[in-house]
Amino acid sequence: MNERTFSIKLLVISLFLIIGLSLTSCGWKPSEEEIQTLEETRSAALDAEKTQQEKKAEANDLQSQVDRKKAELEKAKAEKAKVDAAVTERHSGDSE
Amino acid sequence: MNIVKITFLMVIFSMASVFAQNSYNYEEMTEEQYLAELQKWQERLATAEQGIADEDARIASLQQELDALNADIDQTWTDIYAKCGTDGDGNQAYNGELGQLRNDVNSMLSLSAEDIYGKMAELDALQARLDAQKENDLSVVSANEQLINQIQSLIDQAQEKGKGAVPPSYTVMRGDYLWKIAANPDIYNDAFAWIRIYSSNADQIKNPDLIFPDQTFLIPRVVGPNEHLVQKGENLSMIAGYSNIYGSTFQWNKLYEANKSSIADQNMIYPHQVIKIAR
Repeated sequence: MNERTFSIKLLVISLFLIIGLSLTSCGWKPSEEEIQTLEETRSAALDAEKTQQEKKAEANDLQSQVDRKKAELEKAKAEKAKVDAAVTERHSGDSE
Repeated sequence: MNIVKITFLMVIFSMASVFAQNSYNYEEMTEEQYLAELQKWQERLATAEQGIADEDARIASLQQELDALNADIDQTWTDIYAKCGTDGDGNQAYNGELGQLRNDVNSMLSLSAEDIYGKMAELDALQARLDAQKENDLSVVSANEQLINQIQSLIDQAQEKGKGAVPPSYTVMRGDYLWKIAANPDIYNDAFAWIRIYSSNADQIKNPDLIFPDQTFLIPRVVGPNEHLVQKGENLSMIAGYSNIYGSTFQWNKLYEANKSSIADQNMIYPHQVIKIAR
């Protein structure tokens, strides 16, 4: 009787184990292709974000160059006005 | 030994956690999680690509603006040089000449006072070179103007240095008068300073209008600690009020008493006159 009970218990445990293992192995798993897609998308996004930061830094550098050149142009224009006036005055003095 | 093991384990643990952050455990991932992750990265990729496109457009626009500004600046300078009757190369050559002149003046300035005094003619030639450069229209360009002012200042310094070597006395020649002696560039280069010669040689000059050949006059270059060189607009009261004199305008009489021999009228003192300060 005892031997029989033990066998039944063993069988039940074995069945539970088999069913449990079957259930867990039947869950959804990404295929190799899907894994590759996710990894490639992630890598491409990270690369693109890095590129975007580099472009932003380049644009900011250009912006500061533009600001400097604007100031330089204003200075050159002021210099031109000053030189125009001074040279004209010199030559008007010569003609007198 | 235990510390080494612990450190090794910590390094392994750190590397494992970094690896865990950067990769997925696909075995435990559900379909929903996979799709959510994929969507998240697709959105980040799209956002970044849009950002790149925006930055590219901004870069192109800024580059265009920068090119236009550079062209405007170049054109403005071309106009400036044209107004001066030359071009960029002409200005560069002019600037080079000024640079050479500055070096020559600097060399002169590095000489001793005696050497400069002996080379006053060369210093005058440098001044003439500078004056000739000033005639060029390019001299009104700010950068050149600044350089010219700098050279002029160096020449002035050299002249001042050379004056320090001028003999401290002067022997009167036929035709000299105090006004003429004071105006001599080697003396004071200022005719109005005749009174300084007069007041410093009061023992020899009884009448400032009457000096004689071969008289030797002291030419003071500095003012002593108990002397005051009168400046334009000053009077005895004002001088007495200076903190380094008496600090009280009411003590003007003390100054007058000490200088009675050279001050005829207490209300009449002259610029360049040297007043003795009685202590």
